[in-house]
Amino acid sequence: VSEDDDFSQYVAARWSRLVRSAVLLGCSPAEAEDIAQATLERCLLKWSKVQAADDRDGYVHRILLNTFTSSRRRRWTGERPKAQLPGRLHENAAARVDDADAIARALQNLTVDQRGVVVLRYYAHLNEQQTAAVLGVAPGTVKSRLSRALKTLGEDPSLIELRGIR
Amino acid sequence: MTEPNWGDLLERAADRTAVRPAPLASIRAGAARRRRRRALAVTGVSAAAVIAVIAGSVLLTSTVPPQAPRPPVTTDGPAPGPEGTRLVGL
Repeated sequence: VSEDDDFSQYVAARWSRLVRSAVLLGCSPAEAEDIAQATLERCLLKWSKVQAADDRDGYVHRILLNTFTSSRRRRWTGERPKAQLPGRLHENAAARVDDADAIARALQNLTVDQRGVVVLRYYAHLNEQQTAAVLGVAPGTVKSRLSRALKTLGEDPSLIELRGIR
Repeated sequence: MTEPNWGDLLERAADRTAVRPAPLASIRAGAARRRRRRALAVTGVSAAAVIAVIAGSVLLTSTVPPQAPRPPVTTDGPAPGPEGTRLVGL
């Protein structure tokens, strides 16, 4: 398989996962697509390195996290005041997104570090060692961040409500 | 109340996001743009370094004070003795 084909196959397989990881990290869908695209552009520049990595997904997620963190430092991604909300959801649609909204709101209450750990562990399905390698911290730090994050999520009123209903 | 399955909750939340197909062509174009930009930056930095070295050299040579008079490299040898004599001793 040539390098180009390998990259194309990887993008086809992982694109939606990367976009959704960025959404869980706190991006809007459009911003998440931009970040996933920037991530893959960076990966393509050194695809041979990505191929040689022991844990390819971990490597790509590290770039995704770095891209996300960098994008948050720039002013242009900041919120801008608007007279009207950009769009209103139909009531049925609103009901459908209730769960997702509750989880998204609960995730917003976490720190960026905690959110990163939660997304890497429970959405990217990286183990503790891989998560530690991606974040550049000790496995013990991953454990403690995850523990605090889950405690915060467990106490979130909207999630308690959601769990009570289901 | 049981401990929630966080993985499942996150999957459900993430699945609500509709994702368009991967813009492979845009990704490749973006990577090519980044590569060009990086090459340009490397060239710029190299050029700036060369200019800095040349400018530094010129600056150093232009600020050296005018040359001081140099001491003679050699001195005149001793005057030869009178005709028909030679130096003896020591």
